[in-house]
Amino acid sequence: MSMPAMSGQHGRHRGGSRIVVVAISILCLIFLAAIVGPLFSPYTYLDSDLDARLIEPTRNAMHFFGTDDLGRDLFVRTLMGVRISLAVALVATFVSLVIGVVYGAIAGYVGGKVDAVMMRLVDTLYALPFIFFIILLMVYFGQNFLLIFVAIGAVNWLDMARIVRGQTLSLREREFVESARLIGVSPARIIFRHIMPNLLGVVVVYVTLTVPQAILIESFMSFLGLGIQEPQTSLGSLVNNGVRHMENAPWILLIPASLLALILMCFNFLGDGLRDQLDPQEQTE
Amino acid sequence: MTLLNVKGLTIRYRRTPRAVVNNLSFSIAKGESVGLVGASGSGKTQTALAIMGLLHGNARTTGSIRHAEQELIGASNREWNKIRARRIAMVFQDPGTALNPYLRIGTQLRQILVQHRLAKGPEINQRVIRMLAKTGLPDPQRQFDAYPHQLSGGMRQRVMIAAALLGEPELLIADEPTTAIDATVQAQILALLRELREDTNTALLLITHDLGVIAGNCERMLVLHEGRLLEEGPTKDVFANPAHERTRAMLAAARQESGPVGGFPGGERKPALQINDLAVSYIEPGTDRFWGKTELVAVQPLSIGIRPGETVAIVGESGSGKTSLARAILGLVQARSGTIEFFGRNLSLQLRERSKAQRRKLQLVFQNPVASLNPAMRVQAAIAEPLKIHEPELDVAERESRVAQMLKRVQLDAELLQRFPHELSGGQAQRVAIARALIARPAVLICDEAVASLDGLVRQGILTLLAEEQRRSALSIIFISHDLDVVRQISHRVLVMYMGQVFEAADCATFFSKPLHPYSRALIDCIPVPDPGVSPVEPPVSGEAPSMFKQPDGCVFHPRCRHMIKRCKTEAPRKERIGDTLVACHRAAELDLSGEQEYIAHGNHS
Repeated sequence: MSMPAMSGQHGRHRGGSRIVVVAISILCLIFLAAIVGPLFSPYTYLDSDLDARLIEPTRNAMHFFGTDDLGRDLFVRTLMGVRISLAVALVATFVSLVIGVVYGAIAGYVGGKVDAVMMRLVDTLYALPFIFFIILLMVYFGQNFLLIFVAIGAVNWLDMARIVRGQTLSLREREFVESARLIGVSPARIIFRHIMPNLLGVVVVYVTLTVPQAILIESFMSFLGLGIQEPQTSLGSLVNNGVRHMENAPWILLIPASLLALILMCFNFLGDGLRDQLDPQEQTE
Repeated sequence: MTLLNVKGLTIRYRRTPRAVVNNLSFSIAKGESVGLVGASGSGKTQTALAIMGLLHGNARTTGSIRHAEQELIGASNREWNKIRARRIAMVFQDPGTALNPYLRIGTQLRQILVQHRLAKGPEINQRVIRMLAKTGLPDPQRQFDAYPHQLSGGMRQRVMIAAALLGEPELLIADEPTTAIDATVQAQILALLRELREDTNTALLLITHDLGVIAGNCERMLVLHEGRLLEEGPTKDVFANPAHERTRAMLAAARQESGPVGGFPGGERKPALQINDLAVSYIEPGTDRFWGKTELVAVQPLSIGIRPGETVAIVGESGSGKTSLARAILGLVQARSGTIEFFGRNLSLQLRERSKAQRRKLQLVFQNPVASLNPAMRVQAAIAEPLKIHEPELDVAERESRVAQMLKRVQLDAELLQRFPHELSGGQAQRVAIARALIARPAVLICDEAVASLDGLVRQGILTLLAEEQRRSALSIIFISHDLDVVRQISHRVLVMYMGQVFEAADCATFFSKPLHPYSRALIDCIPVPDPGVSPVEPPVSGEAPSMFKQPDGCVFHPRCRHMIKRCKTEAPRKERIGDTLVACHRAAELDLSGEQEYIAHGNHS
C-alpha cells in the first residue's frame, strides 16, 4: 500500500529552505549594490569618454566592468540597469497584485453569472497577442516610461486573477466562511477579512514568480528597442547593446546578461522554495 | 512468549523541546490484545508509527524496539520490507486515504502476496478473494475489481483489515480503526477484529481514545499521557482500580451515567423554532440518462418544534440527512419546500434573504472547530466579530470587555486572545467557536457533531459548558450527533433519522429505556460499554445504509432489520403515536425492545 513511500520527503523540504536563504541573500546583495554601488565610482551613467571606449574590465582600476562603445562606465550603467529593471518589475508586480487579487477574489466569491462575465473578460485579454498589443500602444501613445508599467501590469494581473479566483472558490466552501455568513458578515467584509488574508501564502509565492517574469518582459521590450530609451538604461537594453559588440568586446554582453540570469534564478528559486514551504499538503504533519 | 518488547522508547522532533514519547516501555506477548489509550496528542500514534518504522525523517528515536530478537530501531529499508505486512501490519484510522484511489482493490491487495512471494499464479487472486470474504465484505468477487471510491467507509476499513491480514502478521496494530466510521459499523468492525484474532492468533495493539472500545476488546491496557506511560495492567484491574488520578478522570468521563439534564423543565411553552414539512433535496447531474439529472431527496418532509431552553438531539448514521436538515434550517442550503417559523414569525428559507437580526438568533457550532475559525484571525478578533456586526455602536473598550466576559464564560485564559486557531488545542478551539456563536446572544444554537472530534474529558467539558449556557439564557439547542452516549447526556428529546426519514421521536428518557423502533434499539446497543465485565455486544445491525439512489421498497430499513416481516418489504410504515412517542414501524406496537437495555443501567449484559 502507500506505507513505504513516506520516508525521504523531508530532505527536500530542508534543502528547499536553504535555497530560499541563499536566494534572498544574493538578492539583498544585488539590491544593495544597485543602490549604493554607483557612489563608489567616479563616473555617472551619462559620462561618455570617447578616448576610453571598449576598455576591458581589468585594464583600468576605475572601470570595474570596463566601458562600452561610447566610453561609458559599465559598472555604473549595469547597476543603473538593475535599478530600473527592478523598479519596473516591482511596480508592475504591485499593480498586477492589487488588480488581480481584488478582481479574482470578487469573481470567485460572488460566483455565478458575475464570475462568468468577469472571467470571460480575462480570457479575452489573454487572447490578445502581447507584442502586437505593446507595439500598438507605443505607436499610439509614443514611447513612455509609464507605458511599460501599464503594459506589463496589464498582462500579469490576468494570471494573478485566475489563481486568486481558483483559491477563492475553494476558500468559499470552507467552514469558517460559512460561519461568517451565518453570523451576518457582509460579502464585502467576508472578501476582505476572511478570504484575502488566507490568500496570502499563494499570493506571496506567485508574486516572487511574477517579479522575474516582469523583469524578463521589460528586458525583452528594451532589447527590441520598445522599452527604456537611451541614455536611461535597463538590463535588457544593456544586453541589446552588448550583442552588437559580442565579437570584439564580449564583456559588454556577458556582465549584464549574467547578472540578469542570476536575478531571475534567485527569484525563481525563492518562489519555488516558498511554494514548498507554504504548501498545505506538506504542513499537515 | 514475548512478541514485541519496547524499552525506553523516546521520540523527539527537531524544534520541539518536549519529547512526544518519553521513555516508554512495554511488551506484547504472542496472541495478546493490548489497548493503548490516551487523549489526542498523548503520543499513541507516534508509538505505533515507531513500531512500524514509519516516523518522519526529522524524528529522533532512541531506546529499543525488539521484535523476535531483532532490533527495529535503525533497521534498514530492506529489513523493514521483510517485517512490514509479514510480521507487523497496521490498520489506519482513515480508510479513505490509506487506499490508492487509482488502483482496483484487488490490484492493491495482490501486491502484498506478490511482494512477499506468498502465493503464485491463480492462487494469488483466490487468496485475496478468500481474505476479503473472511472480513465480511459482501460480494468479494465483485469488490475485487472495484475502486476504493465505490466502497463505503465501513467496507474500505474491511479491505484495510484484509490487507493487513494477508501477510499473516504476528502483530496487528489498529490505530483508531473505528473513529472515522459510524457507531453501527464500529460494532461490526470490532466484532470482526475479535473473530479474526481468535482464528489466527494474531496479537493486537489497539489504539483508541474510547475506553468503551478497550473494555470489550483488550486483555491488557496501557494509559498514555503526554508521552509518558501512566499505568499498565490487565484491563479489568485498571478499570476496577485505576492507580492514577488522570485515569480515574478518564474513566469517570467515559462512565458518565444518563444525562444530568433530566426532564425538560419548561412545560408547555410556545416553540422558539417551528419547522413545518421541511424537505431538502439535491439535484445530481448526470445520473439519469434521459434528463441528465436526478433529484436526490436528502430529507423527507419533516416537522418539529423546539421550545426555549430545550435540547433536541437528531441522531442517525452518516447519510441519514441530519446535517442536510441542519443546513436547511440555517439557510445554507435552500429547502425544497416547507416553512420555518421563528417565534411565530416566518423565516425565509434562503440565508441571503434573512435580515441581520434574524441571522443573529440562529447560530451554528461545527464539527471541526479549527476549520470553522478563520486561520488568519486571532481569537480576539474572531470572538469580537459578531459584536462588530450586530452591535456596531459599542466602542473598542466595551467590545473588549464583552469578549473578556465571554472568554471567562467558556473557561478560557485571557492569554489565548492573541493566538491563532492553529495554536489552540481541539477543545480550546471548540470553546472559542462556541464563544463566537454565543456572544451575539442567539436563541437557537445548532451543534453539528460539535463534540465528535474531541476526546473523553474535553468532550465532557464542552457538554457541561453547553448545558450551563442553556440554563443561563434559555437557549434552544439542536444537537446533531451519531453518538448516543453523548445524546443521552445532553438532550431532552431525541429524533432518529434514517435515509432522510424520521423513524422515531421521543423524550430522551423514554427513548433510552423504551425505544420503539428496531433501528433505535440497534443504535443504542452500539454504544461500547466502558466495563470489561460486560462482554461486547454482537453487532446489533448488519451492513450499512444503502445509497440514496437505491432506496429499498417498503420500509427503507427492512434489509437490515432483525424484526422484518413480509409487510415491511412492500409497504412503507406511516408515523403513528404510541404514548408520547412518534414512530414509523409496522411492528412498533407489538415488539418489546426495552429488555435489551438492561446492561446499560446495571452493567451486566447477559
